[in-house]
Amino acid sequence: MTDELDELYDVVIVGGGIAGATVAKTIADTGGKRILILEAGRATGMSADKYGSLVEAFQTSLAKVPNAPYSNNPNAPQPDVLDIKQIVNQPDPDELPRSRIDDSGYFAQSGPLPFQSDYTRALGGTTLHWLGTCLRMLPNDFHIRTLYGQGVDWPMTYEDLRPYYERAETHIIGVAGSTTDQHYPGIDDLTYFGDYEYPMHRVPPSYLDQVLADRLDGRTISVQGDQYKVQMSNSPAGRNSEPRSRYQPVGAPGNPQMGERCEGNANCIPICPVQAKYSALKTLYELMRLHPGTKSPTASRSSVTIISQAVATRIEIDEHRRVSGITYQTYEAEGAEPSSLPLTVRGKRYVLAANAIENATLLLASGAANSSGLVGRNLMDHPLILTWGLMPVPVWGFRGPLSTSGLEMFRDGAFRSRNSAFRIEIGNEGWSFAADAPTSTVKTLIDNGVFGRELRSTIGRVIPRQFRLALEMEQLPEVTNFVTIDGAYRNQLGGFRPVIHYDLPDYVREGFAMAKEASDAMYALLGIPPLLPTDDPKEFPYPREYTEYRSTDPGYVMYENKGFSFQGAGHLAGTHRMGMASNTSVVNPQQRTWDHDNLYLAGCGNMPTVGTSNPTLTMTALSVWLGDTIVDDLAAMS
Amino acid sequence: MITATQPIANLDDLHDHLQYAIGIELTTIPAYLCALYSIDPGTNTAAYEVIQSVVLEEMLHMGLAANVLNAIGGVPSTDPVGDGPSPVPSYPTSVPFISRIPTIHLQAFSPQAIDEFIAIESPDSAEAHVGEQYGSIGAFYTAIESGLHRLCSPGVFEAARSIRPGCQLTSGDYYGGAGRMIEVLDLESALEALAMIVREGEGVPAAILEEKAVEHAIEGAAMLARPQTKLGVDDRDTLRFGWKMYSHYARFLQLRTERYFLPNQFIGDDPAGDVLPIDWRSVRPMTPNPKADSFLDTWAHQPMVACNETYTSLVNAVYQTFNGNSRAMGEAVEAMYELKYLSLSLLNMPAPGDRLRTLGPGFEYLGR
Repeated sequence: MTDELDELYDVVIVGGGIAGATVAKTIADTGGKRILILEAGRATGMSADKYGSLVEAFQTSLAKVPNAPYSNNPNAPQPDVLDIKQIVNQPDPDELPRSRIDDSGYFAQSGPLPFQSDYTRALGGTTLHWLGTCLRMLPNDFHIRTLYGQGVDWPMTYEDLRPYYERAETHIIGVAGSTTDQHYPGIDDLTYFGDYEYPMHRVPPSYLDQVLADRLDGRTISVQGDQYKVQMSNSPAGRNSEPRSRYQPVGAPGNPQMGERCEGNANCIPICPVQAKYSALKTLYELMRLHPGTKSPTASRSSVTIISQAVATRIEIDEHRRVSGITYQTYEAEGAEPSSLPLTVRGKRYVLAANAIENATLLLASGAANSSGLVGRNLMDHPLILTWGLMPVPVWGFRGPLSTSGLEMFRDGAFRSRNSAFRIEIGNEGWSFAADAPTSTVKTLIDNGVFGRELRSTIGRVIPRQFRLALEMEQLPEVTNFVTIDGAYRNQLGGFRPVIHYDLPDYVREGFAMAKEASDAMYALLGIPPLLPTDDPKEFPYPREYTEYRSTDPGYVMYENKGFSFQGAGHLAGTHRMGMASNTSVVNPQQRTWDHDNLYLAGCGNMPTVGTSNPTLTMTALSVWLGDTIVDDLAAMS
Repeated sequence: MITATQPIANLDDLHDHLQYAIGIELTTIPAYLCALYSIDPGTNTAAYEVIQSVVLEEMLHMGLAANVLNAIGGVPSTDPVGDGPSPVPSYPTSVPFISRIPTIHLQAFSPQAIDEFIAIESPDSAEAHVGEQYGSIGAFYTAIESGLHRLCSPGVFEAARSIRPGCQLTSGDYYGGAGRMIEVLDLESALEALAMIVREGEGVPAAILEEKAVEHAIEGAAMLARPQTKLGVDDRDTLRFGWKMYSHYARFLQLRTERYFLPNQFIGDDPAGDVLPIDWRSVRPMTPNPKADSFLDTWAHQPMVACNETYTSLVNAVYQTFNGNSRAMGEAVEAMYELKYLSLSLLNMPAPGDRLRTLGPGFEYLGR
């Protein structure tokens, strides 16, 4: 059934997250365009009043996981890290025997390892709970097949993408950082950044970062027999700070007096209470204010209509293999039955921007764009392992944002022909991520018979010394890591739930081993020995390393007799990658599907490889480029 | 002493006026903060946002007044001014040289508190002075503006800059609220800074509102060249994406009448916009004008003193930034958060000896 109004939009975008918002803004700012954004989830965060209810949900939740503030919506269900468990049976990847699939969460996981990343299905998307780290990829990341014989090359270079990085940093996200603080292997600032500078000054490094820098910066460590100079980099972040020149930081949507500066609340994940951290809500709010949805856009104003609680269920394809519409289903309340028959909207151009998993399942459900057979394949993440310990001196976590610095010296090197490159994120939240502290610390002490004044003083000694590192691996594309659909696994609206097959190859596992060796070397420089056999860990002696990988952890993997427990980074990518040929990729370098000339894909699914940078910035740069492409495409039509 | 009967006679007299200008802006902040922090968390969100937005602008005004004082060779200080009192008040307090300003109390969010705020921000300046007093804050600033014209040649500004450089706050030092920090380098920017203080507090005359394209500096001159015509509720500030801001006076009137103004309305009109519902009961019953010493020998004394100490270090850090110590701004921001947390915790503590009231921040300044 066609929408009664039989409207024809210039562009119909599926997904109200950062990719969709970026494409919409880039097109809308050229004026005169009619754009529709369909968002499956709710628009709760967009209301200045209701945003507070999300903050409250976070504050009252017992497990402060990334989706804690954002309730699971049966009509637009989402994965949750609390659903993850070990997958005991290891099925044959080609058969997917249902009895062995763990479908207790939103994902149906066929293993052998659980896929451990989540995302948020609500207006604003996963930027509601992202950390905000805005690292660019390295030039070598675009050519790892040529340089290291691994993965695939991108159909573009860093230099091609560089101007779009600048636009993403300045016009979409608003990045705080200093180019002179970036110390990446084999990179000199002048060729990497040119005379560019970020729009805002860096967010000051945390006290922990200063303590680490005092003890580590400039020292040399030996890893796998090679020497590396330790150098900390202040991480560029989508977080408001003092503006450079005439840049104006963007505060909270609907409450511009809030959030013009980071206030250091230390819970960027899962929610920034003052919205100093960028979320796509800011770009969408700007679109609503500057390009309100009307029937007749003017030369300077576009018309952007955002419909939330509208779940795209099918891409309609006509006999000429062109997309003829997007069919969607609306609902009134989170748990309610669909409120109408499906509606179909039509546009001159279509963009799927629903994230790497939802884009793939929608394409598969519609039989679209899959002549290569690669839709859903090459699922990637940044598998990470944590190391944690008690410092010799208090470092006072939780003051300032969740992370302000990283160690970037392992992001590139000849070792990439053998194992994963990685970056080390320095957490500023004690053992919260690593061991659910401070709650667990208090519990352990009480269970150990400590109480009263002694309990208070022990907490006062232990918790300020807690710190952790996250060692985040580049994962390569493999067709055997995939998301697919299966009629047995459906959601309330009858749509397909993602069925995921996931494993980590030795390439990544050896990366864990190398990264742990690097971490060990740095702990040695910090004067932190491993726990001694005579230590009672329940008494929290310090300085000591407390890293422990248990065979019962959901992500426990072995490599050469050593065990590691990995977790997901929330960096879902690769499921509809771009490439130079229609049989090896889903979209061409213009991010247009090879199969349908009016259908574009946006998001991390387009990334052929992920390098070691948190992928949101790169996705945003690609989405700016995609916006430009569609503007040209529409102009060529008329 | 500050008196309205004579024009400002010399540079020293002008400095004294500006010391008190900083002080008046500072004086309002604790009163507004008590109303703000006493609102039960999660209730009265519209009122909370309104009061918070005014507090942000009062901080701006304090900085603007300090910039003007610095620009003409004064040294912002909490010391007593001449033979008068310190610009940093002890509550309840009055401003003896401005007739419209009532006695200012520290008290919980209530109609009485809002009435005080309305009186403070009142633009009714038909009379430039009442006896020896200025008629309103606007009249007080008009006298300062006249003094700047008569007493401050370009040489005064140049001398001040070369003797004590680096004391101006700049645009990056202020954020979150409407308006902007203006660096004061000459007479023109000094007038612009004063005009921003007055128009954000009291509003903008209709004649100026109608002239859409007035430049800031010209507007400044026109603003201060009273007598006033009709005042709009609009203060000509806009936030991002065209959010219109109203004068403090209009913002507080909205709370009192529980109704919003429309942007094209004038002072004197009844607000004609949406209802602005207020729950006057969702408020912590704070002890008015609480003093730490009233709680000597009780458990409440220590937290009251701690809050006063934080307030004192905040005031001192702010004055240090006015004296060119750029690091002090960071300390001041830290102290602002600390003050908020300590105030909120006091507002959760029952007052010893009065079960119907809670403690609250006393804003007792303990000296440099």
